[in-house]
Formats: sequence, structure tokens, C-alpha cells
Amino acid sequence: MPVPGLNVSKRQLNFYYLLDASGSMTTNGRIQSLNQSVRQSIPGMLEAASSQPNAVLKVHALEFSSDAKWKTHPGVLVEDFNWNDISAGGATMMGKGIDLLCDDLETNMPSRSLPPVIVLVSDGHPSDNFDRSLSRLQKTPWGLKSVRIAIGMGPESEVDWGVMKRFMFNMEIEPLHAHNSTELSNFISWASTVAVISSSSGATSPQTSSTYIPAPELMQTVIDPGDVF
Amino acid sequence: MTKPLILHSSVIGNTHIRKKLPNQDSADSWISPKGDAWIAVIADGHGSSGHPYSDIGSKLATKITVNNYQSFYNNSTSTNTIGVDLINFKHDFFLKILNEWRRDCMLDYESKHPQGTSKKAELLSDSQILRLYGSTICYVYKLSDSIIISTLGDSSVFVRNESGLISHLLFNDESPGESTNSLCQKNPEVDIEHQIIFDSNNFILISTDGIIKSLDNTNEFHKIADYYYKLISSSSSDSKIINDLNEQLDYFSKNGSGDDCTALLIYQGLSTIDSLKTKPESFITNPSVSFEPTLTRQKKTIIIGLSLLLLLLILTIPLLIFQLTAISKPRILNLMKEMGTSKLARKICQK
Repeated sequence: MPVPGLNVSKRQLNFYYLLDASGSMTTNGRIQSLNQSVRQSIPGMLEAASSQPNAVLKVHALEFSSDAKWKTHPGVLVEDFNWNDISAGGATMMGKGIDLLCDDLETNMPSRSLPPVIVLVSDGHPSDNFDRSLSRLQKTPWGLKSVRIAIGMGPESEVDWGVMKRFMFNMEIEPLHAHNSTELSNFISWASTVAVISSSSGATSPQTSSTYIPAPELMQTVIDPGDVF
Repeated sequence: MTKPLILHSSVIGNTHIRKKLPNQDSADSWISPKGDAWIAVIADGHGSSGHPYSDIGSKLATKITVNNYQSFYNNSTSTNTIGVDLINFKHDFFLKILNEWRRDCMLDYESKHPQGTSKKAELLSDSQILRLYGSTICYVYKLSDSIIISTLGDSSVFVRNESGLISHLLFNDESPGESTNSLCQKNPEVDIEHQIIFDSNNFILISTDGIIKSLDNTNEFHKIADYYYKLISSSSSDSKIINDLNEQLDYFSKNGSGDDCTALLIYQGLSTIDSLKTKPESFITNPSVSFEPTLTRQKKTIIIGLSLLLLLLILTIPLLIFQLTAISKPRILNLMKEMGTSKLARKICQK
């Protein structure tokens, strides 16, 4: 029996999808692959959540193109998370997407939460002032403590790797490169499980330590690489 | 003279049970035979994978802290020694703990990895080795007529005074996320926080972060402090309190944060020694206020008194001089004229 009148609760883990829905995502079925990959990540997330009984996993999603808007907000319990497809078109206002995320991190995070996990998926270069928004994210306490994974999709030359690397400031692993739909699906599933498990462990480390996430060990896609972006 | 009551309990976190990890928290305490000196300490070894020996690190931290305090006590005639400079003592005491902790961690590592057995192990720098043992530390001890609370990291410290008011002390490291200050970091002496309170009938509760992370907000912790204060002051037996504490911590571990949970209770309600009868209440509302020992306070009062007197003199002397000169200038002139020094007198007066 707990102390009478005491509210004991599990810690909340907030998971954010930041998804590129710009016009270039219409190329080679990228947006369809993205929708499919997010949908396929749900069972893995459920499993990851059930393996962490002391954490309550909430999923949020936002898309950015010529503007940024929430797709799932406020965050829903992973058990209740469904994915309705997003469509592509417009510019790549990634900075606006990060600003929208910052608004949420600055105002809606319970103080005893676990570090949030943020997964950014994009195939191109930001059309707006990404670095200004990134600077805001770095100044936000929860942004600074977050676990950030950037997944670039499409040909090497099309993705802005500098942006992807800067987004993953203070992380020990490099941005991930998905050349095809199978890799994208694997990476998103990996990010939504390993990063969740890592963040929800609640394990402390000294100040200035970077968040340790083991790099993904993915199987070679020999037979069916799926759509090549 | 009655001894204070110090009780502590530590349970392994639910997360650590699943991962087959040991309890990385540690707690220890010591009370002198006379009850005139005591220390209580908790430490929380870092849970992330980069700190595989943090359970040893936390145990070393608590053991070294208690041993050092005992040595100090044994080498002093009494902890009520008036000459002890608290400001320097708390700093030096921490440095002593830190140095011994570093030394013992290195020794432990060497014993685990004897020379020639692993090249990888030998390649680690001293700071990398110490990181393997990373731990927070929080200790409370009696010195002179004060109680010193020192904490490095994210432990919680709550003090309930005689009036029933509870203050949450030393909470600067309550930033969101899982990073905290640690014994293994560079220059931890810069980040350790100290608080000095009067030795009075306090009830002190210190705990590792596993408990506070199980609660919605800090105010919930007040309920825990109140609950145990009532339990202890109602003369419950030590074993009953410990059993209750074990159950509570187990509940936090399973239904809350899942982290290791350690709590340490210090009850001075039975103590009558050296209690100050008058105590400012300001520390209840302002946790950053530190309380100096009586001797320093007396000195301060004398200094303030003398300063006020000096200020009064400085203010009144010019007035007196002005008054005197206004009344007696003609008199002085006449007197000086009589003495044949009129020229000189005029010059003085002109000036």
C-alpha cells in the first residue's frame, strides 16, 4: 500500500515523428513507403512499450511541407495509435516543423518525463531557416535531452546530410540512409523500438554525456529491396 | 542525551530486475556511541550501460564517507569543537571523500583487470575508468551545533522542522532528463551543493531519484515526509518502520519509475543536545539560505554592532565640528589675538 493520498505514476515517454511531406516525396513512391513504414512500426512500438512496464509511451506525429501541422496531437497512447496516410506536395519547411515540435516540448511535457524520442525523416534540403529552429530546439531543455534520429531517404546527393547531422547534435550515431523502402521500414522500426527502449530505461549518466543509442544492425536486402528511391 | 534515529532502506528497481542488473544504490550511516555525532549517506550509481561498475562506485562512496567522518570524530575531542570552520570543513571533507573514492575505484579496476590480461582494459585513461564507477552522492552529518547536508547529483533532500513545515533543499539538479552530476565527472567539487541548518528537532528525509521520478510533482514528496514523520514520532518500532519503508520503495519501483529506490530517514525529535531554542523560519521559504554556526553568528552580531556605532560617529562628528566651530570661531580668534598669533589665526579661519 502506498502512502495514503500519494499519486504514484509511471513516467511518460513521448515519441515524435517529424515527417517530410514536401513535393519531392512524390518521387519514386517515397511518400507511400513512408506511410507504409510508419504503419508497420506500430507493432514493434507496442512490443517495445510492453517491455518497459515503468514507462507510458505516447506517440505524436507532425508533417511539414509548405507549412507544418500536427498529424497526431496531443500524443496518444501507443495502444491507440493508428496511422492515416499523409500526402506530399509543396516546399520543405523543416524549420517550421521543428518550431512546432519545440512549442510542444516547451509547454506540454510533464516534468518527470523520460527523454523524448524524435525521429526525423526527410529526402531533401530545408526551404526555410532550419538552423534558427534547430538552435531553439537545442535551447529547449527537453530538446537538449532528447534522443534524435534522422533518416535520410533517396539518393545520396539529394539529402542534406549536413542538416541531418546537425539535427542529431550530441548523439553518438550518424544519420541513417534509406536507399529503398525496405531499408526505410527497417530504420523506422528500429528507431521506434531501440530508441524507445533506450530512452525508457531511465538510466542516469553524468552531465555532458551524449545519449548512447547502439547503431542499427540491419539485414542486407538481397532479394527484395522494395522501391528504390 | 538521546541518540538520533537513522533508518534506511534500498530496493532494486523493477527495470534492473528485468535486465538482471544489481541494485546500484547504496546507503550507510553511523552514530557515535554518545550520540553526539552522526552521519548518513546515500549514493546512486549511474544506470546506463557506460557505467557497469556503478554499483561498486556507489558502495565505495557511502563506505568512504562514513569512514572519513568516523576518523574525524575519533581524532577530535568532540564534534562540538567550536573552532571548526564549517565553510572550509565541508569543502575539505568532500575533497577527501572524492580523492579516496577515485583511488579505491582505480584499485578495484586494477584488481578486476590485472596487468597483462587485457590490452583494451589497459588502454583506458583514468577518467574513463572512473566513469565506469559513476555515482551520485548525498550525505548529512552533524558538526558542531549544525547539520551539514551535501549533495552531488539528483538526490532529494526534505527537511521537516518542529513546526511541521517541510522544505525541499538542494534541488538545483532537477533538470529534466537523465543526466546528473557525478563523482566521476571532471571537477565535481564545483557542482556539489551544501546546506547548513541548525541542529534542532528536525526530521530529514533523503532519497535517490527513483522515488521523485515516481511522483507527479515535488509536493507529493511532502506526503511521504509527513507520513514517516508521524510514523516515527508515534514511537513505532524500528523494524516496523523499516518494513513499511521497504514496502513503499518496492511499490515505487514496481508502479513508478522502475529505478532503484533508496530512502534514509533521520529523526532528531528525541535529541535534546545542543538544540537552539530560537530558529529563524526563513529557511522554510527560502531553501538557499544557509545557517551559520552560533559562534560565527555571534561574531557577526558584534561586527554589525560596531559598524553601526562607527557609522553613527561618522555622521555625528561633522555636525559636532560644525556646531563647535560656529560657536567658538570668534572665541578662538580672540584667544589667538591675545596670544599674538593674529596673522596665523586669520589664516586658519580663512581656510
